[in-house]
Amino acid sequence: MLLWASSARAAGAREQEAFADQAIDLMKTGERAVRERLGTAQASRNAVWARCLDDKLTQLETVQRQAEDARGALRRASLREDVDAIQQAAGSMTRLDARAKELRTEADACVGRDVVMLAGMRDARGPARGELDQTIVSGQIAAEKSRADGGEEAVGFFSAPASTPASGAAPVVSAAPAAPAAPAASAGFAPTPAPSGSPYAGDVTHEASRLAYSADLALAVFQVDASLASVEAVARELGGYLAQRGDAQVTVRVPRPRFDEALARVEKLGDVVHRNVAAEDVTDEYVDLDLRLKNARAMRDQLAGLLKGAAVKDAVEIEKELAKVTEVIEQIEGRLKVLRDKVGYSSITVSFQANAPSPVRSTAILPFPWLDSMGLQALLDVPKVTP
Amino acid sequence: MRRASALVVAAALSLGAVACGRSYAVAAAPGFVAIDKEQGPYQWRAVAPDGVAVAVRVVPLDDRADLPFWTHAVTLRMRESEGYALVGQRDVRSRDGTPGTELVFGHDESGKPFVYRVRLFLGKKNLYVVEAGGTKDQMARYEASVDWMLGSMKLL
Repeated sequence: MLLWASSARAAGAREQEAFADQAIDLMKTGERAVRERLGTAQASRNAVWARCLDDKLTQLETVQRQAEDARGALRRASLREDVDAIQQAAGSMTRLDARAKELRTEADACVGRDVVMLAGMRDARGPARGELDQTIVSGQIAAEKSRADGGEEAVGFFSAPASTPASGAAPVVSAAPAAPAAPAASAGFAPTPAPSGSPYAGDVTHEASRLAYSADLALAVFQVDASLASVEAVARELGGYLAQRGDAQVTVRVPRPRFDEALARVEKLGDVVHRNVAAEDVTDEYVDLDLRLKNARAMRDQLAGLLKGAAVKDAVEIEKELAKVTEVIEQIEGRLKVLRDKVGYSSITVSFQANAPSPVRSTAILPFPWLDSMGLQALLDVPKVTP
Repeated sequence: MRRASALVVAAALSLGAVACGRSYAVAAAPGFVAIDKEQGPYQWRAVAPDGVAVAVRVVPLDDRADLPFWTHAVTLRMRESEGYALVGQRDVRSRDGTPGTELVFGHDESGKPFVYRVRLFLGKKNLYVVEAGGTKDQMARYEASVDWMLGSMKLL
């Protein structure tokens, strides 16, 4: 019995290693495909696509590195015949594989197509990743179910009797003893479905309005306190608010439609020595975040659905994933809120400075030394009169 | 009426005294004391007890530039190098009818607002720069006297 169990564990570990190899191969293929798309987007100067694809590529590379680490851990655990470690590494591998698949789907969405890139990447070695995921996770859940039902030697899907996989074939994992398979629809961490239609279809019309305006004014140093208060008053009158105030600088936020009016009024408060008005286009970031938020919410909903009918062990894993996804959603929502505020309110910073910012002298110096002695200091510094 | 008479008398005395050996004449208003033994960049200066000062500097010229040039040069110098605020600018004339320009600057020193007035007159050989300055409050208090002194400037 013990020999059989040991043999079964060894076979399970080999299957997992083969699965890991195949998953990493698939990640590499996907990464190459995304990289090619990125190159095409950059060549065609499509900044929105390029930025989105670049983001996905970076994430894919990270996932791939983690997967390689997990495969290493799996091999080491396999040599030690450490069932817990094998199970942990295989779990990581499954999650990373699912994440890679999501990223590939998101990369497809980057260019506004519903084409599943995997369709072109399926090779003769076996089923596509989604099928592998479902097989393995179904097996895992089945084994759990078996254990819960009092099944013998239930150590997850590693306790399955050896079923030597054909070279290059997908691991065929089955639970022992035979247990009813979990419904495919609720098995494992199913990837987020690709959004239908172009994710940018509804955004095209308002992309142009996602501009964050800001102005920096340097005023000559005169009646600073009164001027600072006046700037603040102007902002409040126009529906804005004070963002920051120091001894010689104030930043106010005014509603975007009142920006020009506010700027004109503030400029009249003093002698403007330097003026800089800028518009930052945050459309790309906004669209990207919006898309990521949709995907994350869909993922959260799926996980929440899975949690309802999950076994205890699965529930722990699902809750962990749910916590991660929830954190991501909160981060994205926070950033989106900042962006909306940035677009909805324009900032005007007024600073009072003795000298205009002039990193490079762009004008000749007049060769008249007497000009240098102009000013209050010379005028009011009256020399002592000797009787 | 008595105050106006006193100003006229003081002006006449000051003009007479200052005009000797100089290419210009200027008078100190009552409440100011003129410093004849002036050193440094000024040829003449008058000060009030609480710090308002009026001064004249004479810059020899070699027919190198006109009044708009000097006006702009002073404006740039004060605004961009010294951080002064240009509060106002207007055309003025000296007592002899020479056209000039007055620039009014504002500047905070240690958190306190100051006012600095500069009148520029272009003579045949010299540029005459008449300056007045003090804290904003003091300049407001002495406004009549300062205006009178600036207006007393005469190119000979």
